[in-house]
Amino acid sequence: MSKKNLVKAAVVGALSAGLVLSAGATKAASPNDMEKCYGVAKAGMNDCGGKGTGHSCQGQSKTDGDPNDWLYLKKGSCEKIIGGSLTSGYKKKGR
Amino acid sequence: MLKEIQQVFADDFSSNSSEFLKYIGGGGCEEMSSCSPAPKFIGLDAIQGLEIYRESIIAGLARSLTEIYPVCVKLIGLESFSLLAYRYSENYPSSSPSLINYGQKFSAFLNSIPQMGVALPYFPDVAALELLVHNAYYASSGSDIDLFRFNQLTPSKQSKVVFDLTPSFGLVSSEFPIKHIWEVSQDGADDEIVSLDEGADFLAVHRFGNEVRIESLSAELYLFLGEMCKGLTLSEALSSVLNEFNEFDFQASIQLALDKGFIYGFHVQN
Amino acid sequence: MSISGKSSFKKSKIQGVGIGLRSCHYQSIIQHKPRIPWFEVISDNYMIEGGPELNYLESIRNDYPIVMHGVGMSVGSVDDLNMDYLGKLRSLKERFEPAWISDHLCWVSADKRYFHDLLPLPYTQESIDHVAKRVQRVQNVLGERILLENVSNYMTYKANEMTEWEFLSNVAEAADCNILLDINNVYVSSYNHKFDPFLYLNEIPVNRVKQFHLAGYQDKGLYLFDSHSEKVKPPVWDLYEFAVTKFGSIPTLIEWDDDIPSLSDLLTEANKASKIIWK
Repeated sequence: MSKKNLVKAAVVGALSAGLVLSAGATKAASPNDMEKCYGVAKAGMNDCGGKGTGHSCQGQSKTDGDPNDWLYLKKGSCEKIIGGSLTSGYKKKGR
Repeated sequence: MLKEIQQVFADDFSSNSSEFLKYIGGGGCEEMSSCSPAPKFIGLDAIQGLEIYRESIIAGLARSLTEIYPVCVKLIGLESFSLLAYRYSENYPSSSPSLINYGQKFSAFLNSIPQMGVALPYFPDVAALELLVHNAYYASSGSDIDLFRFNQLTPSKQSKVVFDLTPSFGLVSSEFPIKHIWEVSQDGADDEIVSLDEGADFLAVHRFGNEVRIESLSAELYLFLGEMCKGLTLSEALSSVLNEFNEFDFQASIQLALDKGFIYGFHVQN
Repeated sequence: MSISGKSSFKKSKIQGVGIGLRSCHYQSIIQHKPRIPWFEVISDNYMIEGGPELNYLESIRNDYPIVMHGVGMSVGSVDDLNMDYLGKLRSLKERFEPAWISDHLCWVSADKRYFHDLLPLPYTQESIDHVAKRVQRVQNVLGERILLENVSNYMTYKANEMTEWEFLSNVAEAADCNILLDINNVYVSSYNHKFDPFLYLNEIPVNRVKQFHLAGYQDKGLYLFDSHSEKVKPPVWDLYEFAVTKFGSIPTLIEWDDDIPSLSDLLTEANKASKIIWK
């Protein structure tokens, strides 16, 4: 039998008995459980009716300059991520 | 006149020009008799005035990206992130009155940056994960699936069922351990080292109650849920998964998806 | 506040000095229920499908009266009115029952592109007619009068036919809407464009002004910048005192959007305004 027919047979076999599902076990938590909220609030995205928006990004607006400058400025926790391309010359595939 | 002024302002953004300057003047007192006493200092001229607005607009968009992508900010630092965010903001206009909807193409933008693949190959995938978390946070809550009705369906009807995934649901995969990277980048997380060699991630993001959750999936379940997202019927989705994974236990997989709260409804396709 | 007073509190009038509701204070407000007469809520932040933010707002709304303040109406834009936006605003009004709804006398979008910045209009009869027509449609959809706020201003159109205060007054009359007078914005614009801020206030019709905003600006040397990131500055307090004398003890909001301080620091700032308003 070809693979296609094998798959077809498997699908028919799997579904022929009929599927019986039971209610999800983790459904117990209330969606209004405020305790869960604490700590996950996002910053208000549209708050700034003022013009203070440039604050955290000041001095970065110039359109000139090397588009790869970000790379040389890079200073964050990515230094704690090791392996892959960073140590073994790994080449990214499939994109 | 109003239409012309606003059109030129918008066009200036697209073409990076300053045609708008022809509509604005220098300090406000030039033609106004109401300015008394006479100005004691030199105020803003047209170029400075326009620049304040343009800077504020781009900075505002860039800043909204820092709110949506906090892990990305942490990974490369605010200075570096801001540079990328400004580039994005200059090139991707906002089409919604709310900034909550901005930045949806940031991951694709990151992927288009030369050197990204060599320098930080996992970075665009982390951004994709963060976007799902952000979107899930604001999504509507799903209702509960009517399992009694599902279980009553004949097998042939069941095979034509299309499951509706909960509104906050999203899928993302990466050849890198982006869930672990996301976790160690949260406030208060342990100071851990992540190795990219930990391998690929197949993830579902959804909100359960008030909590956004990131769940690791098997490659099979990831594929199956992906086919569900496309609106395929049970038998179509099953066929697609069995084609790649002939050991796929679909009954257990659907039950797992239910238990996790991924599925909130279904309909039978004619 | 006694428990029995709660429901009447919810319906109670907006008076005194309120503060802007910001997400970083949710937890503190819900837990400690501080004595704040009312909150101003950014409507746009709650135009969402679901999730915790709406739960927070609901919880806080149970204990405090609110007004809603938006940034996305774009009442001065020549683009079509965004009916989706207005529909969401109406839903929020029905769910959370704000005492009133406000937005800005400006445009934030053009050619279907949103700038998320409060862009000033040229002060012309054409602008007045345009805004008045749109505000009337908005008011029909919402079933109530809205308040329009004067924005801080950094550029002057050559086409201007009148002063900013004439423009604001004329729009309010033509549209039959009310005014949210931002005292800080008046001061910032007066500095940037060299006009007399007291003259500005003197020319605004008393019966239209229903709310004040106070905020802190940054002095950039050449100009003042409406950053909402600092304490209210002395010249703005002076102008506010004058405004209270002229317009009365109308509800006042302390706005703080950047480098947001603790709730107690915000309340200290609000108390300063209270002392002036209830003098």
